[in-house]
Amino acid sequence: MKLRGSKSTWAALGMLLVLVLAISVKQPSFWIADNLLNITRQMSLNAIIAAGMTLVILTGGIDLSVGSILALVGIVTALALKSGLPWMLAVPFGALLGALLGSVNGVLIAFGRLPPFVVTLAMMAVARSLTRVVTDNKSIYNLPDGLSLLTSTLEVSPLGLRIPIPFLLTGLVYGLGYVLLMHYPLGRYIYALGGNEEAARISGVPITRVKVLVYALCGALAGFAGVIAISRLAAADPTSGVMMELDAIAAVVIGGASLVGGRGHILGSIAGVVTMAVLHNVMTLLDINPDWQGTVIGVVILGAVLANRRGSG
Amino acid sequence: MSEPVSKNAGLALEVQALAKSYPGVRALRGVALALRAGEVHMLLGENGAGKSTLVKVLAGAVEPDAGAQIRVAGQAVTLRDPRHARALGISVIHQELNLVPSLSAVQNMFLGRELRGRFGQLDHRAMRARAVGALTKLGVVLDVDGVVERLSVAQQQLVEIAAALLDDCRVLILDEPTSALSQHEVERLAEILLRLKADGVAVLYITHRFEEVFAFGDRATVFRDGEVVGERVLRETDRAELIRLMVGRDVREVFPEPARTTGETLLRVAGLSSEHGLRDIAFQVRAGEIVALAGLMGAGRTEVARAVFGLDDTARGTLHVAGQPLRLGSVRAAVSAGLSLAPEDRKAQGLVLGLSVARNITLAGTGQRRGKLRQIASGPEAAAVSALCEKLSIKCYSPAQIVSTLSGGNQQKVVLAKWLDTGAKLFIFDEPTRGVDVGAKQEIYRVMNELVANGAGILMISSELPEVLGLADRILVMCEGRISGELSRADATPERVLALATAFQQSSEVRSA
Repeated sequence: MKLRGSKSTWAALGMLLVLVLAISVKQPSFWIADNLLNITRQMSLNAIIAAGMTLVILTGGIDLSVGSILALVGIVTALALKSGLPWMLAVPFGALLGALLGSVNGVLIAFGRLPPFVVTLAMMAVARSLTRVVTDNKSIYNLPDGLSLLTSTLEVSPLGLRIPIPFLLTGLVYGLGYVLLMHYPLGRYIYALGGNEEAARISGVPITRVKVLVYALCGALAGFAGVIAISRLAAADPTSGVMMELDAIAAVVIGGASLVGGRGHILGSIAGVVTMAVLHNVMTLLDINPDWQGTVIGVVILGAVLANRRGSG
Repeated sequence: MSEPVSKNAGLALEVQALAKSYPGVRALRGVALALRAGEVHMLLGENGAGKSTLVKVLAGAVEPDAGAQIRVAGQAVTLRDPRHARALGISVIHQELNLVPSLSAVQNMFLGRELRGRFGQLDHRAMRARAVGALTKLGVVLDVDGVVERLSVAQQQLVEIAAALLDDCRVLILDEPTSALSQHEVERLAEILLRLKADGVAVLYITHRFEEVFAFGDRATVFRDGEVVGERVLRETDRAELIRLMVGRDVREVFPEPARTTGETLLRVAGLSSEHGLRDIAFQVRAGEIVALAGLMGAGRTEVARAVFGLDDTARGTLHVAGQPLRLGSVRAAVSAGLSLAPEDRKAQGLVLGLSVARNITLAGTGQRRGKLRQIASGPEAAAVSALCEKLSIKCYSPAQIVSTLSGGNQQKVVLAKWLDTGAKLFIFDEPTRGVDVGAKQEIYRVMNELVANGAGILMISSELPEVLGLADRILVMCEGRISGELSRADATPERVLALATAFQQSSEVRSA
């Protein structure tokens, strides 16, 4: 069970390995520490959002609003910081705001019995528009210095190791996600809900509560990512996070989850995220026209889904 | 091939030396089958005997191993795909109907083979006329223009049969056609079968119900372990012989005689009504007894189960479980009060098919074994799962086996294990042996008897009268949403049950006449 439905996870990892070997020969600069750090930094936003998306997709739902929530939370957190919110509270503030927006999704889906696609599409439009209204389409600068700590690099001097904080945060999110899915009833319920909602209901699974929680968690992680985003840029940009929901969905699908729900694994999703990030990086290093990246990602998504279908029959 | 026409030219379908192997499994071996034009031929066998593989081969969906000979009306054929099989006159009506719910009957009947006009446009008038013609041939009148989801299941089935007739169908395969029909609708189907026979169609009819075998069939072929073990003319055989052929041993269809002592009242229902047709239902189930809800399809038996279990928001009335009042409309309240439900449709409602045996067993009770950090205590959980698998003798190679790969009987036991894990005291079984083969039925009866012997109470719904008469201590008969009478085990006969089951129907017919 633990790694079931993960044929395409292995496919993604295999592809990744081939890619890394090829680049090592062609462009050894891939292995330069700066480049590796760069990759981990770039993928952290997608990774954190994809973790929440994994939970939602496992229940058989979808969340299109994460990119917009990321932007709105970023803006509101920036404004709060400027009006005196201590920078140390930026993360809990952002995550809570994201959770609030996510639970609006969840309540409409669970109690209003509306389709997740429609509800989160509406939230995507509303949150993006609020972001524009609040900022008058302008970025917010001059955030407190302390905030940049979130995206700084941890120096472990005796070993000469440099670990980016976002990398640690990503690891923490996936660690907690794994424990939640594998070792807590909520995780069991998420799989059961995606596998057969009616059977889960008749078994006494608290369907509405699980749904609200899952969308709230997904929103909280998007909010968390929103705070990391403003930390990295040292500014809040109302256009950030556009299309990010699609990158997250792509990573989850490459990682072997089924959009119907009930199948997939959070470790698969991180493999999907890494695959996408390395692809981007390798293509940049090889000086391939960036316009081709979408085509490559598209082919990878289709390849992953095909591998998954062959694997599970 | 210039092979001469078979000597049995009167045969609509003839199969010889048919085999089908999957890796590690020989699903069919040396199968021979002959269907005469104008006969209803029953296909019998336990689940897993190879019936469905045979149907798939005949439908063109599965390619048989080399060497199989299939003749349609005397001509040797190779069935390339379902479309080809249909073109040759072989149509299959599956248990799960194959209609697009949001399209009309006409649109469904011509799906994929629409009639076109001169400019390639759809010829609605011609299609409608032919559809109505095919239905009229069956003696059926229904709304051909409305969406089929508004039709009853029986009407939908007739739409499929009529669609098959459009293809000049010579062999019609019906896979458990009556599993979702009411008694009245089954009688209607019997008339349809007569019309088809008169038209020279060969019908291959798959069912688990012996009443239908003898009422509708002319001959029967019995499968066991992928082989044909016998062909019988039904006028010259009996139920016992057929069962012996199916099982390969003598299964006495005797129900274990219970020696029961009843205890406290576990469930008390009073004044239960709902917008789903229930009217003023009142009954009790005591510890140590099996109470059966009998009645015709649509009498409201499943609705009672759903209302009691909190699945019906419109239910009104009072419920007491072991003396404590239970709120209506909440499954979670019902579960924590000690109720459980093994639903009618095991695959759609009872199990999460893609998950393992262990995950299904612990689905309802997973919250009760926690560690220090409130996490699921995996050791005790694994121990509970294997104890339950052993107790119910669930046949699986490991608790990690995906539950969809188990047989129907073992799947039913997994549903039961899930409720034993919650410590349920009152078990509601809705059609507990549907789709379960003869051997596994006996096992489920044994488990049910054990449950009541250990102080549980059972509320059982079953459409199989022998099961109701053989298992229940008391029988509540329902008719049109009401309880029309109660029979004790000693008083119950099939005639009395049926009389009560139609009590209000007859009076209303008299009134309207």
